Amino acid sequence: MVAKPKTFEDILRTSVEKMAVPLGALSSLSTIVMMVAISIDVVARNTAGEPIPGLLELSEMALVATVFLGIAYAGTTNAHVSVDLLTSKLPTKSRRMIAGLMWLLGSGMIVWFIMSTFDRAIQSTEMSEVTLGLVVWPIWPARWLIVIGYVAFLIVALANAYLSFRNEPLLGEDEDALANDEAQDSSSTGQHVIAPEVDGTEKKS
Amino acid sequence: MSSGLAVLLVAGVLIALLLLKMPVWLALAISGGIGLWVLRDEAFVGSTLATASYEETSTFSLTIIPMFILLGVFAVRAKVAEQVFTIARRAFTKIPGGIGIATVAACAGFAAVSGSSIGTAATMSRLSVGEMRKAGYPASMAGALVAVAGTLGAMIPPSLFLVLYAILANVSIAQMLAAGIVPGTLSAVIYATYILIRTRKYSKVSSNGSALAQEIDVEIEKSQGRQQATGLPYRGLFRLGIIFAIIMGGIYSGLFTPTESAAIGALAALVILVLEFKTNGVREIARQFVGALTETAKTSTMVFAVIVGSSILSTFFVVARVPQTISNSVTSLDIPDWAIMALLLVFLIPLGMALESISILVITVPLIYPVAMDMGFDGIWLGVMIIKLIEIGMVTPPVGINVFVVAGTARLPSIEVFKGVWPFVVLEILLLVGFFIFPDVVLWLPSLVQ
Amino acid sequence: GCSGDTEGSDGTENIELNVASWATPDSLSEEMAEWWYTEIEERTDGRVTFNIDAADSLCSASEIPECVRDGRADVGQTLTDYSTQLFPMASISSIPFLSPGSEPVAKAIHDLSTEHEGAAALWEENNLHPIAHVPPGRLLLGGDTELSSVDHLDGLRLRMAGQYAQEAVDAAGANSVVLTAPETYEGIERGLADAAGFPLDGTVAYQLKDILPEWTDPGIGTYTTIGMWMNSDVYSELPDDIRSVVDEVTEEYNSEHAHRIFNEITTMQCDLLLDTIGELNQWEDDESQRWEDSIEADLEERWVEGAESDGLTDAAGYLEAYKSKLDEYSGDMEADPSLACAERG
Ligand code: NA
Ligand code: NA
Repeated sequence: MVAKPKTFEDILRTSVEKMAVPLGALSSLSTIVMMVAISIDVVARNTAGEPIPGLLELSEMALVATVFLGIAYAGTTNAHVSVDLLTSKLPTKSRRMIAGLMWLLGSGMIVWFIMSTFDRAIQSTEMSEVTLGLVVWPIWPARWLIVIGYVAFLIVALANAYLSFRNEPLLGEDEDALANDEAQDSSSTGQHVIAPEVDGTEKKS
Repeated sequence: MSSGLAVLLVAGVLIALLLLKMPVWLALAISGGIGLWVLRDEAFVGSTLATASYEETSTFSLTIIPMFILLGVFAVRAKVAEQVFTIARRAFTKIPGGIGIATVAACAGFAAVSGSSIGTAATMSRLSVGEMRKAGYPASMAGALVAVAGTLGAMIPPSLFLVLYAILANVSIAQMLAAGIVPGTLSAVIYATYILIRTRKYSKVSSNGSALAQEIDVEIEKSQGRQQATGLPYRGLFRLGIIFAIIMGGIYSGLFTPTESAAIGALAALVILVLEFKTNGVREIARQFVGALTETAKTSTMVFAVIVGSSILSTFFVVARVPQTISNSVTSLDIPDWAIMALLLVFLIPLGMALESISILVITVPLIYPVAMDMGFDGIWLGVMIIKLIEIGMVTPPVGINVFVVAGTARLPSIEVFKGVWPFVVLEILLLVGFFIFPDVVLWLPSLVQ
Repeated sequence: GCSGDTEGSDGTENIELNVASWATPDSLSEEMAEWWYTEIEERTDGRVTFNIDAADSLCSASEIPECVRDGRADVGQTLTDYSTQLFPMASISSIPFLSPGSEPVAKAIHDLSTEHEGAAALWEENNLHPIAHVPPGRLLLGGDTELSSVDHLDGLRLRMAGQYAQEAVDAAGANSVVLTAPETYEGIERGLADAAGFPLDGTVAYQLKDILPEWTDPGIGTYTTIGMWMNSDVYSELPDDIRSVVDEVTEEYNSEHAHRIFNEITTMQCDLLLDTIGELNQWEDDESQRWEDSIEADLEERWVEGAESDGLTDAAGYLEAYKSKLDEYSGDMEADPSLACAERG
């Protein structure tokens, strides 16, 4: 995009991304926590002869964190899979109106998700819900991660609805072409220019 | 509202939302939610939403999915995939299907270490779809091949799926595990044969294809200048071999479980990534590492969102008692036993479209097993048939979770992948017909296990 | 609430109760619960019917108590281990070497659910009307080699069950391997674990008798219960005559039929086990005592603290009452079927 005065839409995009990217980073961190925790547990069991209490539960919580802290980030990068059969044949304007309606409807569903997971998180916190394995592990933090994830995703969904109704592309939609190219050219060197679509563009991660 | 009407309503809403490009996981959640609301009440839907969100994401055995995705992403960034498929391309210069066959072989290999169809599909789509497309495969074929070959995960042991069936049906676990080997391998051979035939026809028809083949050779020649000795990047093959050896060795010697193997494999792939970039400095390594993590988090989130959505829709089908209704109406038909059996099994495909696969096993085995026993069918054979059909359900529209995973991971239009799936589904059904007529194909190996 | 309330042809109300159960077909849990459903259906002349969903389909095993509490299901049956903080009244049965067998434990928990004020209040508060809590049997140990003393457990990789099992595993010098029940077969097969703790039911249901040839009863006793509950609101809103049928059937179930069915099935499973492995061993009393003495932590005290924090008032009193009930019931009943099995083989 060339330099032009910042519109409200630009500011909206930037702010939603500013919210989602740190959550995405935490989600990424959780995957590595999972890998390290499981590996340490395997090593401990085979060397010291005993698993380390709590690592299994930690991995489960890291999975919840990976999924729900990443859900808004996946939203801003347009990574949630959808079926493009009918809408791709429509003119841009109508396509975006439909997208706006879908994201508005989706937002309603997310509100329902938030209300029910919020209730459950409160209940879990009040009764200090735990799992019992080698160690007593609290469940309630994981339940709150879910609520946080859905709230962040609601913001993404509402922003997408607004942008669509303003006849603008979805969050992350511009990047699709680039991301697609990267998938074609999974080497990051870009030397093997074989398939016509490949242009070796490096997308910054 | 009657259950039948509710099912029609839900199916209509689901298809409409999917066609209007609603994100798949939301389309599944909304249609399932509406169905539950109609048959029960808001409170029921609320509880289901909260439960699905937590239960489908807080289970240790499911860590296998992000860990295998991470493994795949590390391996791709470490150029292992590229190097291996360069070799495959060279090794099969006379056979255009080489990369596809290598992909099927790799899926079967993954299946022998993991019990997860989704995990296998997610990893392999990251590893091989890009390479297949570079070799000129259309998106539909490349994506479909991985989606379908990914389903081998549940058929080739280890497989909690086979074990659960054996427990539910009270047949021998040992025999059931043995029974998965031949059908799984046979499926892999059939996918490979199909790829061989299809891609050969392809290069004959399109001159573009042979031009492409030439280009590949040019590429290989070029790369020979950079590569040592024989000119092919054998270290890629070696490294992939190391990852597999670690995983296989660890599982089969009892060092770790199949679930844990995914994390160990990811760790091994990380080490390889570091080795590949060690001359490029710490900053480049860090950049690759962070990039890989971000990509994994994004893909994992996408996959699990679809699993959560599918679990909500699945709950609706349970509440609407769809499996029971189908089973009752089929068994009351006045047709020969084998036809009833065939119909019952065929109905597993549409059920597999909507029910997440463990549920469908738990629901349908008690419905189908007694009927099959009365008719004198074999319990082990039935298990193979049921699991095969459920797996077909995972790749067929409107809801084929493996297809969505591959489409999302490889960034292909899901509709393209669905298009490419049909020939494979036809092959699968032919294979099943074969098993139906010649049950001994399935049963001879387990008969050796006592 | 009850979802299927419809007017019957004679003007009386027909009630359909939705059941969420972890029981798979022909399992011990299913056979036991089936009696309760059938009796209620018959004694209400079909005015009450049960709509039983396949295991793990409507609500997963661990989610069932929650499903009954929030009304997604009207009746539920699952292992109490899955949500121990709701069930301190039942998790008392998992203290090692305390609870001898299924029948006395089930009867004690049933009596105390009304006789102990704290327990009655907590059931009410959790919105669960208790029906029965029957332990799936005494905990047996299975391995490749003879496991007849604490010394045999030293260094063994052991898959155990039960809330306090870790303490017993540690005390014996064994190492805990965490595997779910269905994962155990493949885990043992590949050498991930050397031995496993299961009730007699599990040796058959999970086919562990086929890969572990040595089974023994180490004297730990029961380790959990299979709980069955009705949603409290649903229960209290039942028409009086129907509620009294439910009460009557529940009483008979607890006093006699749950145990009769449990004994029948366990005896049958004993046949299957003995057919495969020849004999079921049993530890000498001193050896069990030696294991019990080696556990350093005071698990009864820990249970009391945990139960108090889960909302059970006068947990210490509950423990005392539980023990005297066990004494009372253990005296005049036939041997637990696992012990009888060990006597046979
Ligand atoms: Na497998
Ligand atoms: Na499907």
